[in-house]
Amino acid sequence: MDNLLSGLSLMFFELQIVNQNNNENPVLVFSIACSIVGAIAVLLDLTFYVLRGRSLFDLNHGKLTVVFLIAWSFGALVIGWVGQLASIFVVSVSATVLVGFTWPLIITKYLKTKADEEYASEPEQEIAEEE
Amino acid sequence: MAFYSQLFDKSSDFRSESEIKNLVKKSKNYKNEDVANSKILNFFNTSKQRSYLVTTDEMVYCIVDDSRKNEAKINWSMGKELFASQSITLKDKTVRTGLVNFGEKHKNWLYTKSIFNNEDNMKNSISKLLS
Repeated sequence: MDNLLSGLSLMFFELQIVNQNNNENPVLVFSIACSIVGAIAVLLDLTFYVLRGRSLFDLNHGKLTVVFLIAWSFGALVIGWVGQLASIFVVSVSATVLVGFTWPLIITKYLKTKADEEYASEPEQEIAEEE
Repeated sequence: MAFYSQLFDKSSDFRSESEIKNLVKKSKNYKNEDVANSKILNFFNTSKQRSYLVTTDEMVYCIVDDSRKNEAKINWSMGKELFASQSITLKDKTVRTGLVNFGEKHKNWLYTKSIFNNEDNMKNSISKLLS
């Protein structure tokens, strides 16, 4: 726990890159940091919704806001963890903010690209006038 | 959230089976058959198109429903007895799609392999449709 807190402190308040040299669990630090930023993203969206009456992330705020908060945060944690396993991100504030704020957009864009690729190769039935 | 539902719910763009059945009334070969007792077989299914065989007491209609078009289209129709006398032959096209010949006149119609487990299953489905 102390290790996690010191890693988060190092990253968020001293703006340093966390790695094996200054922390024993950089992957855990990054995953948790992503989930915190994910929660902050939803809370900021809620604030914007309250102030301006619309959601930047297209979320239907209300009773479901808590669900969005948990889901977004959990998703960011998993994507952060996977990103670390794949060595895509360094453990920095900017990478954390990128994952925390945009992971659903990245995932849906990726899925849409994959779906479009698949749909593009689908054969099509010829439509003709009735014989 | 609307974006998510649109991304995954592709079926919402297609006409319902009852709408497809009712379309036979627009056929130039429609002989006032009872559409309520008609049978329907979906044999081709992609993200953009579905193809059906609809049988009434007298006729067989082949209908293509394209989600990008305003309405489904009858491609051909023939008497039920004549259709029953035609040989149904199948051949491969891609991993997911095959070609079916409904006799000599209506050749190379795409069908989705996953709808039918094997060739016999498809022929049985057509036999049930005609019974």
